[in-house]
Amino acid sequence: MDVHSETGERIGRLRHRYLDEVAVISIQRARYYTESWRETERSGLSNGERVALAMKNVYEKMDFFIDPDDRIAGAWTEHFLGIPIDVERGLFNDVFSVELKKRTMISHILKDNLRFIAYMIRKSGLSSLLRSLRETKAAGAAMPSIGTTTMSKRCVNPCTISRRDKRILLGDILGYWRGKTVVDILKKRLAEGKIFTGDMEGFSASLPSTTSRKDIVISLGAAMGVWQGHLILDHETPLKKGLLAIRQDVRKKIGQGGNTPEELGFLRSQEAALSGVVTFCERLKDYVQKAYEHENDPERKDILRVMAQNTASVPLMPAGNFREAVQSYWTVKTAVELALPFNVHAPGRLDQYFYPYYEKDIREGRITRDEARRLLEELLLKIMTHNMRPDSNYQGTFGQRYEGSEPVTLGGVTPRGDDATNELTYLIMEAAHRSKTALNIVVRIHQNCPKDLMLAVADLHYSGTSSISLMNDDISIAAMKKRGFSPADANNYAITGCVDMCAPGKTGGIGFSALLMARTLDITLRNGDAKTLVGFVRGVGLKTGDPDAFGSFNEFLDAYVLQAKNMIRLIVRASQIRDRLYAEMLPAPYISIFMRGCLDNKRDVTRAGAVYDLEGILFMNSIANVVDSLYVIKKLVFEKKAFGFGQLIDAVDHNFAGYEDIHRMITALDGKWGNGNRESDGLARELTTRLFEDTYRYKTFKGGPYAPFVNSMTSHTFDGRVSLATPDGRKAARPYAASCNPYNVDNRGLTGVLTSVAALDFTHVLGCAVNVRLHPSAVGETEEARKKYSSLIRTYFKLGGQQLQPTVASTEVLKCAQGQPEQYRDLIVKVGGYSAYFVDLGKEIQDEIISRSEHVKNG
Amino acid sequence: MGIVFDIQTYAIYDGPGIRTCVFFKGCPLSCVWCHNPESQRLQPEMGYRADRCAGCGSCVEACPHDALVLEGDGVRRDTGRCVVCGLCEKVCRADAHEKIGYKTSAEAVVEKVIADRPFFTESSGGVTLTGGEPTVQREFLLETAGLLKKSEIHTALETCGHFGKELMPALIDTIDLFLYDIKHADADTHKRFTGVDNRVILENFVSIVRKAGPPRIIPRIPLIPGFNADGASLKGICRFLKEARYEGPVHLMPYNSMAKSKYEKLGRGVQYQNMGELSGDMIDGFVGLVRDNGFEAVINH
Repeated sequence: MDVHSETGERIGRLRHRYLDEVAVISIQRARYYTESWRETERSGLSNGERVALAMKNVYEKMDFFIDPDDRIAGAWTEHFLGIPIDVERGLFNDVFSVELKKRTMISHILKDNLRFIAYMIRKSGLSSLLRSLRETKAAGAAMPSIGTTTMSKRCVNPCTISRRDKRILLGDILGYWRGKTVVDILKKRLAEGKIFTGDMEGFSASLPSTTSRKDIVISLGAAMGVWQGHLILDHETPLKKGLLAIRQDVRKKIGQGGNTPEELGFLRSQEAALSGVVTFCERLKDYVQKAYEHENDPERKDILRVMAQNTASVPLMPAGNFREAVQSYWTVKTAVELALPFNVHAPGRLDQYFYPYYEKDIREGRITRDEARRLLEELLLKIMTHNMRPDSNYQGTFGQRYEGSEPVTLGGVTPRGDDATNELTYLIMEAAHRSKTALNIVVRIHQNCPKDLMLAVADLHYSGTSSISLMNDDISIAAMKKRGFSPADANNYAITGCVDMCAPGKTGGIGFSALLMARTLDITLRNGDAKTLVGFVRGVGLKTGDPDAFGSFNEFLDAYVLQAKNMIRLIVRASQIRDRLYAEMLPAPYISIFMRGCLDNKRDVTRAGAVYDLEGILFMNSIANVVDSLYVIKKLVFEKKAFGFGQLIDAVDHNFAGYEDIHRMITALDGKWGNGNRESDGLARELTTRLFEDTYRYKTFKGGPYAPFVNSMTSHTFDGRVSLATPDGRKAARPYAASCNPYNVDNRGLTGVLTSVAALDFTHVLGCAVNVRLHPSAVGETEEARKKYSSLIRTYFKLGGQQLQPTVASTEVLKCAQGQPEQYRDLIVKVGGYSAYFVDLGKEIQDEIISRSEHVKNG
Repeated sequence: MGIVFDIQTYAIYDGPGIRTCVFFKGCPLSCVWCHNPESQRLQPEMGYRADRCAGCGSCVEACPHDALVLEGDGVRRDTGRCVVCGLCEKVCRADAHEKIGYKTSAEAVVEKVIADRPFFTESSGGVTLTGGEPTVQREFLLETAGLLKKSEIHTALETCGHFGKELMPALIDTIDLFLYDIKHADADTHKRFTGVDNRVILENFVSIVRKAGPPRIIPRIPLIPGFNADGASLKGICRFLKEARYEGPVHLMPYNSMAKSKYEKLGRGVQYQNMGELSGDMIDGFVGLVRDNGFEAVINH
């Protein structure tokens, strides 16, 4: 693989502008959506139809944008780099209300802190509050805060807004939605559903907090994502059939009659939504056509002519060639991402979808390999730009602009099980390398995949293209089958979100909740209460017994499992409430038209219309810290009787200050998870399998399975920041291990780490992120060495590993990048599950990545 | 029992496939360029990193043999008093002290390395016994190699070749691959730079080629500026290889000057000699030269 040549000027320019320009918040979507929604308030239409019409109104009135460097037409907003907002869900409404002005930020912080202090004094008295504040300070921790820097001035992910738009947004638009959003109603429903136990509700209401409403802390051991939109649209049907033919199918269904009123309401929402997308396409076409007509420069006119031809025919009609296929995909994606921004609509298996067009064009001489690659480079960068959120500054030191998820899935097997690798598999990898896009590029590896594919991956890793991650087909396909996917759909899996498997185009929007593993351990140690750096909460868990009374380690382990299962049950109840709310309040007609099953079943995707449904339970923060803690308890408390539970809890409460002996014994304990130690690996497998298996008991509101995922995004840093020390020796306020990583306690190198990770039974898991940080020398300077790197990964997969996402960057390089960010602008790293530009990341998460074990060449 | 100072997994430059390297302590040579000074002495010793030391004095207090004194910002060790008990390492919070080398049994070594068997199998790799010079601890070496053979793990030996002939039959029997250093063909130069004569080394080489056959031995030439990184020296080695009827690849291992901190850690900073740099062009030239002399040359980092 050619890894040396730089990309062309045009792509380089696009990348630099996407990286360096300040994003603009566009209110057009919010405004026209609200306008229509108000009009249909008393129309008697179903909510599905109202949503469809509201977005149609957006498509009819919005402005378009085209850049001289574009070859693929269609931007998310009227700006080169804009962010549209959906006000109806309300994920970021409070961010805008508060963080666009300094004044509102200061008053938010003041109010928040006063509320917190009042709560703490009421609950536990002034002296206890002061003690808790002292402890927090001693631990070097500070409660994260939104700070006082407004969105347009902040360093991480700045976004600006025009004066006029700000006035309209803060006044009319947000005013209308106050109390009406999904977020607002969800809070009430959760309280009515008695989701919050013990003092939980009062405590979380009192917490100085983020203004972002993406997640809700439902217990100290569990959190829930507010939206339910990780998915992959059905891109094959529009490519092959075109939107007009799809609309005909819908009309036929309406005409056939025999529909119940609900079904008819749904079908009408589909017709309206299709008309909405068609409107978007036609207005885009007109916009490009006009640009073409007004263009005088002959070279640019040629380019615009091709773009005008493409947009005139796709996606309304089937794609006829590679350029049209790419344009068709992008137009559909952009329209739907505008209807549901921030959802994470991954592209799916692009090498499979595009290959027939590419192959034909190459054969008939209509396109060259390089031309196709440049178009793919542009596409990958553009997909990345759909992956930014107008998030709270609270995320600042933990965040970044592009959450490089929306993975592209490559390679693997066909639905029939044959090798699916083709020329585009390699070309897209090359495009990822050259464009330096911060996306996840997932390469599926199976037993019969070409040896060249693994070597190509090794070449790219050596060159520092850390966007590329690897999936093990054998384990992954087995896992899909266990969760009810048909053999063909299991074979056809693709990745969405960060690392989440699904049947592309057939799996309704996945929602996510999280089991907070270490916090659940804390709850077990405190017999149902929980302690954090920001306060003590009674009764958030079960009364599983005073730890001192446990006669054996297994009894203690059982208690932990019981507490964790209780959190899983809570997650199930909460997510069912959330999903019911979406079905009632906010159907998703724009997803339903691109989701197989919905039309046949005549049901919206929020009402189980899709062929499959799925809800994810993230096992986070973290398996490593909990396994190591349990191992410490097993060896030192029960076997060696070096100290008792009482001392251990005291040590944890005091962040090991005054308990240095205990801390030393803990850190000196050999064989923690990550060293290929049979005992701790066995413990990790037993613990996780018991919890993974528990998830089979439940069905989602839509009748799909709950499946475990192991990914922490960036939560391991900010959850760590407010957490006490853990029995594995991790100090208070320090990050937890990221995702499925061991906690940098390995002393047996890469093979030990991989052996330990592979000890988990991943056939229960529908996605995990295993981060290892490699010095390039560990990948290999020579081809011979890279073959060994391939063998390393193959062995790990044979042992049962599911996923691997190396960050190939030395500690030295990362430290330099911290010092001189401008020189390392496109250095990509893996955070929890996704790719990101290192220099875009907040300091705290940068430090966490640097602190990960670096594996260098040995010998 | 033997003394080992490190076991490293996923070694990719020390023999075929993925390997685990077991580093034996002790070496009969004293090469002026040695890049593994911690391997030279047979006995365990204490390393100390001044750059990490916080100067807190807790090791000085803890030392039962009064072998440590606070001096300036750091600590000085009286090696005459120090019995290498390792207590200073245990009490140090800054990880400034490090015990180099520990006593272990062959069984324990094999038990550790065997954990990576799946990686060896997949990559046709195995274990590389290296050092120091493993043949210095002959009983321990033979025991380890014997156990590995019994466990059907491919075993390579990195050796300087300076060992007694009586060891040969057992080595031929247990070692699958000899990675065999040939440093210089000229006896005087060899002695001047390594402290020993090369006669035994060259004889042993010939003997292995004869008894085990060429695929089981690979000569490795460390390319050292000022010692053998020159046309005449390399031609001399090639001539010897031809006379020995060796007909396989030759590994060239370019010198790097990165061992300085290792010497300092051992309190032997004065012994460190920077031999100079080798440019990429020079290395390419040596590859060509070896090739012109009838051998396939492989650069091994």
